[in-house]
Amino acid sequence: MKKNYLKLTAALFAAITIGFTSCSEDTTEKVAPTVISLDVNADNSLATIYFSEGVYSMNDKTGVLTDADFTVTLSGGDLTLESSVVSHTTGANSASIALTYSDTISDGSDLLTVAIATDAIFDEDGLAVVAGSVNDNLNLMGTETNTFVVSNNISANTTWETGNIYILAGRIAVLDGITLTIEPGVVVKGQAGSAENATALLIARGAKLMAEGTAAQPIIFTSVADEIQPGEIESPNLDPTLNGLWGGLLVLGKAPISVAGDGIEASIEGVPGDDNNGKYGGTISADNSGIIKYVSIRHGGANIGEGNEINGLTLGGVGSGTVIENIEIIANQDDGVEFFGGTVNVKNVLVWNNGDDAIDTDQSWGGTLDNVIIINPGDEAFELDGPEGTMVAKHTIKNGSVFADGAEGLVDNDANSNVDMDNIYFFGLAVGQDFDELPTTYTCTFTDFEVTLPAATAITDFFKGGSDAFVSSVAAGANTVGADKTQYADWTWASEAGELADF
Amino acid sequence: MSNIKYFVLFLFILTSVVLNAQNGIIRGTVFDGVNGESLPGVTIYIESNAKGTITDLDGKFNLSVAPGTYDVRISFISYETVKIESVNVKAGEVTLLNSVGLNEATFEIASAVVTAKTIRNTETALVALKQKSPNLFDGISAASLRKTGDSDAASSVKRITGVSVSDGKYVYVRGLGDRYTKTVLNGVDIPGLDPDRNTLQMDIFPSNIIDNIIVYKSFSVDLPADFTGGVVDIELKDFPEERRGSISLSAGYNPNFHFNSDYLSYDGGKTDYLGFDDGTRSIPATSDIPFFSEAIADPNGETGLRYKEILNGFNSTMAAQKQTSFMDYDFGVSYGDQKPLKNVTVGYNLAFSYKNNTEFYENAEFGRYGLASDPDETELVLRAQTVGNYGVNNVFLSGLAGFAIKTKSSKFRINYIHLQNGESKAGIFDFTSRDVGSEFDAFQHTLLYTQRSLSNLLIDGKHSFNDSKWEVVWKLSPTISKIEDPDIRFTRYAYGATDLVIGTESGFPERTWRDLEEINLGGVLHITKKFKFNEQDAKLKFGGAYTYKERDFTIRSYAINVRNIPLTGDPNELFAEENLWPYEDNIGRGTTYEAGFIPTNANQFNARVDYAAGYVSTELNIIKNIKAIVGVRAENYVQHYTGQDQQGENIFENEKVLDNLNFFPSINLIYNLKEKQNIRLSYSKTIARPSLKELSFAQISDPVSGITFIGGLSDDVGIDYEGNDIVYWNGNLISTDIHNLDLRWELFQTNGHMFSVSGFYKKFSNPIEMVQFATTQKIQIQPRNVGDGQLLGAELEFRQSFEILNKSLSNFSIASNFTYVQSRVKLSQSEYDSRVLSARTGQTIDEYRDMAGQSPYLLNIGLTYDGGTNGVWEGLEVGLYYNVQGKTLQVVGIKDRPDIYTEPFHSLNLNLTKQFKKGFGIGFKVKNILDSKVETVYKSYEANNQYYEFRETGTSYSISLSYKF
Repeated sequence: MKKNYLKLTAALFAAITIGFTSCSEDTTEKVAPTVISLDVNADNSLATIYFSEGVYSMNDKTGVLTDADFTVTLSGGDLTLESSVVSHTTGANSASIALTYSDTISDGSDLLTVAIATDAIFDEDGLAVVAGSVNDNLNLMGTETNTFVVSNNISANTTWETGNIYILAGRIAVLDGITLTIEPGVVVKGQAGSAENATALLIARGAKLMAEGTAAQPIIFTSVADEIQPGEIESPNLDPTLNGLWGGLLVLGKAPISVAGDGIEASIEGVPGDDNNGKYGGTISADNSGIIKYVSIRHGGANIGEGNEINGLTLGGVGSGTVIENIEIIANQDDGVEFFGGTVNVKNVLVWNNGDDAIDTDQSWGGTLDNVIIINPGDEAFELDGPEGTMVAKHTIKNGSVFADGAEGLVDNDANSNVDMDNIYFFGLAVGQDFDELPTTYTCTFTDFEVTLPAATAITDFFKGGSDAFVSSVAAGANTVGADKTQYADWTWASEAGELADF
Repeated sequence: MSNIKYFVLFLFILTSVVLNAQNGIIRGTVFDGVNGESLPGVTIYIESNAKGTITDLDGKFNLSVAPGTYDVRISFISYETVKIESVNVKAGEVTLLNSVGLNEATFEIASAVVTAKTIRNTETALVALKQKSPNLFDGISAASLRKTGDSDAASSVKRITGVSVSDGKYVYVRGLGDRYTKTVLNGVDIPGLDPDRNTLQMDIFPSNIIDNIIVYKSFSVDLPADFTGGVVDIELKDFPEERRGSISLSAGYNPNFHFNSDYLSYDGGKTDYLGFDDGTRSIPATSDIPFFSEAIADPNGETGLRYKEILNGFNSTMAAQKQTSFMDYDFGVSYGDQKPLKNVTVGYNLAFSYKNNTEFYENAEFGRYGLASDPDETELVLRAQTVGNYGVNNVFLSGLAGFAIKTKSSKFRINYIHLQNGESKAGIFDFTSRDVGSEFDAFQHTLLYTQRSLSNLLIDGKHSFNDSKWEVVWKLSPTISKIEDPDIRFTRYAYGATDLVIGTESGFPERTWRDLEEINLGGVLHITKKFKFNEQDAKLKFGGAYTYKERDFTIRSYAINVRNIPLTGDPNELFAEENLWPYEDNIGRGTTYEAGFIPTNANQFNARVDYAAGYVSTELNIIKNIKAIVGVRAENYVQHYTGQDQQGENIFENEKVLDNLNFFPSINLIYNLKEKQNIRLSYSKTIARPSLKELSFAQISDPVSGITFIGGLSDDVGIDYEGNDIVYWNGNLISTDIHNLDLRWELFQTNGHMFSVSGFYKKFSNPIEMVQFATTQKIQIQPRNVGDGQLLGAELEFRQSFEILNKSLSNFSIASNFTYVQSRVKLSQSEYDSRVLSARTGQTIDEYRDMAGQSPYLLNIGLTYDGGTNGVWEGLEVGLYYNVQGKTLQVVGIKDRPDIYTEPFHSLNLNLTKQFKKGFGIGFKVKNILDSKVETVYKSYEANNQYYEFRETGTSYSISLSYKF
């Protein structure tokens, strides 16, 4: 096989050699010179144009070729040509063109074209080069990508730039004292993996996340399986029900928490106790973990260790100095947003198709959640738990709308839950779902609940333990309380998919 | 008296089998009365027919004589001569002979007369050895094993003074946890069979391959220095004294366990009955495993097909099933013989045993309780509870083959054993979760299989030179041990509002494979030179040891997700063909898996140890009646580790984590108060090193126990109320130095009767304890050096016949031992802080607590009746045995997790055996006559105890048949 190949190559060489020989034998007749080829060098800095014989800028065997003799253009790719400078030696059969570009990156699709005007270049006999053009593709240059793999903890202030995709290759921690800035429109994708190989972005206690998306350019966290590109809102290939494909976003701070045994700090679920980046809690109520705005988190919730599936957004001991607004969580395998103590206030949260509870509060979270939409949670819409230790704080949830759909329940209180709720609207209910009990340990205030009941049911079928007292029944869409859905218009997948029509 | 040696001689001559129709054989062993060691070169002479022989290097002799009654004279230069009268040798019949009436020697009369008397109690031999040994030790002999009816080493070792056994397999000496107890086989290191413990699981050794078990309690320099509580030495059967063949069969019945139609089991492999899996439980893939998110991108391409292939590769059984249980049965056969050839004697031993045990626990309960958040509330709060039935089937299979060859001055032995155990468990439980934020009810199926094996080859030799002035003993012993848990299956369904749910709250199903393999190459060399010091016998001993061991450990766990398929509650539906991904061709539905161990598996490590040691010691009488054994041992210990943490931030590639050279002095003094009375005093320094995986940055999360192990090299830094760092642990794990002091007074009488009282004190510098992280929700443990520890204890042991009360009661005897231990260890900073924070109102927190695993007391009482060799009760032995150990701290609590204690289990067993002529025997055994229950409880300040584990074992009865030939 190999021998045959060698023989063939040898035959081809022979044929070419014979061909050239016979050409040169034919030069007894005067022939107009032609352009043979254009070659771009390896780093695209120089293109060389070859002629069939020596050439001159004048028809009297004088003159060197100059820029004026050519028209150099670049097309087909992202690059633009900044300059081209021709150099030539009188009578030589080639000329070189030095090139500079707008950027250092080419994916190889840029086409360099050199055109020659009529009667501009001559051979020694004064015959003009036939007008026309020749071209060559630029070589691959730089890295033509907007995708960056992040595989180490972030230990220096870092910015993730608009237009780019960042791939999380593991459980990436932003270390104490460090700020990670994520510009609007950035897409962050978690690689596949579970348990200790699960991917997640963890903002350690003392670190800051500055993720300020905009309604026009939200920041999206998703899985590598998602073919979404910066600028897109809806996934081109994944259903909004596929969950557990990567981990999630965890933000940890130094605000107080209430844990069993009364330590002032705890390790977040799934992170080994000796990993100091996983610890949260402290004594600083006004702690600031940064700004998180217009962020959509999708398809997450993988087990990140010890059989702990992770929430879409985990907030552990996050302080009130932190700004969290306009958050969308889609298809998370576990809870949508889970609060472990802390004091942060959160506005405008939408949770759609998550596997467990939509909003889960633990360890005496002491902030306010204002304006929340919940669509089809797996377990409870609100799982509201009381203190685990002696530190006691109350949280408030107001202005919410819940489309219960496949939920197991509406509100799950414990005797020691410590929460005020106001202006909440429930619809899309099914038998078996309930607001289970009213807390008794602490004084809690529940006001202005509305519900659209399925046919032939009563408020007390769903609102148990005396909770029917503050609930009134309304016709579908006739609610006077609930979330302000305009906050989710345009930038959420739920909105784009028409899921908010009934809210 | 000064120049006079107390004479003695300890001799036991067991049944003799006549090799030809005319002759019988007298065999026996001669011991030095001073040091209890066997005497080579002793002349055995029968005056009446002028036949004689001399003892070999083990002090054993072998004399073939015609039937008749003889006086046997036993003499040795510088020793007094003993004459055993009326030794009756019969042709073709078993001749039972024994000494030992010890005659006190006098200055003038260099002869003692011992009258032959029948005995079958080699316990006497052990007692005599004990009396004369320079070491402090206790033990149990094969004869005792037979008496107590214990079927394996674990159940018999707990009869030894100061020894307790937990979980039916782990041995603790003097209440010290397994970190401080070392097990050796024939005096050479062997690997353990548990990923989390140092000691060997003893239940795997069947009684019929054991010669004796000895527990050394004081360190002497010929023993390994990683010794604190004690060294347990399992000695396998050696050179047989005569032809010994036996076949035994037994059957056991427990009304709770057997012929119960509710018994739970699951479909295993075809070779389960042999104690290993036939591949039915093999892992579907260990490499080339696509992620689910890759499969959905390419459902019908190569990736998707591979994903489906792996899904199909899982055994589809997930459910435990009802099946009627069978009773216990076992079978054993052994044969051994020796044959004197021209210049050598050859001997061999073969043993095989098979045991099949079935247990069934109904309404077994496992609980998790915590402290209430309100410190005024002292009662414990239920967090989670598992109640249900589970069945356990154990198969033990073992074989031993040994061959020995002996000349007058040398002995060589080669011995091979293989031990195999397969344990299959299946259970169905109701599960109640009452954790804050996670309240639900569920039911679950758990299927487990554990397969353990150990293969050991022992090659050893013993040589004496220069009129027995020099003795050389060497041993080489390679061992391979494996423990595998193939395909541990777990499924839990939570009850939803109207349906069954498998989700993040209930936890997803899991399938786990866990493998541990260890090889161990050990060798020892002991050289002894006898000499005279102050005209008394003295000894110089020196030697060395080398061990190489290497352990590989891997856990691979698949998390199973059930994506939107209809659930009926039968766990077998999860892997039913039609429910596998993609369910109804929808790539978002169906049973899927996630392999957490790819691309990198943090749950694995390789560790190896190179250990070399040398020692020198001398044993001499510094003044009259005070013998001193003084020595020093040097050990060089090098440990390497390969493994990484979960995030790959700390990766060890064959990193040398320990390289120490240490010296260990030991002084043992024996004051011979009066004849048969010794006072012993010993001091030694020993060490407890971090185990194979402890010197690492490991973060090994074990789905079987639910516990994450954190290597001792990573630190634990928290913050205090001012926001300053607190270092709970600095990541600098070091070995523990232990100073040991022992004092014992002992009194020995004839026929193995004895009485002893001991006291001991141990001081631990930087003891290592498993400390729980206070910050984590699930249990995560890390080995840390905690504050210094101390242990103070006393032991009492006696063995006495009732003939002191009344002559007619001479067939009744009692043996009892009692150990009392008080220990304390200073709490680690994180534990102390946590206990203070979670203290109940009015509760004070001490800086010290008991050492974990330490029993405050251990008690054994055995009442026995021996029917003797003639009369109506000939060959009847009856024993009633009681064993209990005090309430023991099992798991040290932290945070809201209370301490867990094992409650005393009052074990009372009856064992009856009757030997008939012609070698037949029957036995009857009743276990747990008091119907004690296994109870492990949470204990907290002013709270009612709550169950951590509760199960009823019931009372079991067994009968056995044996035939000796």
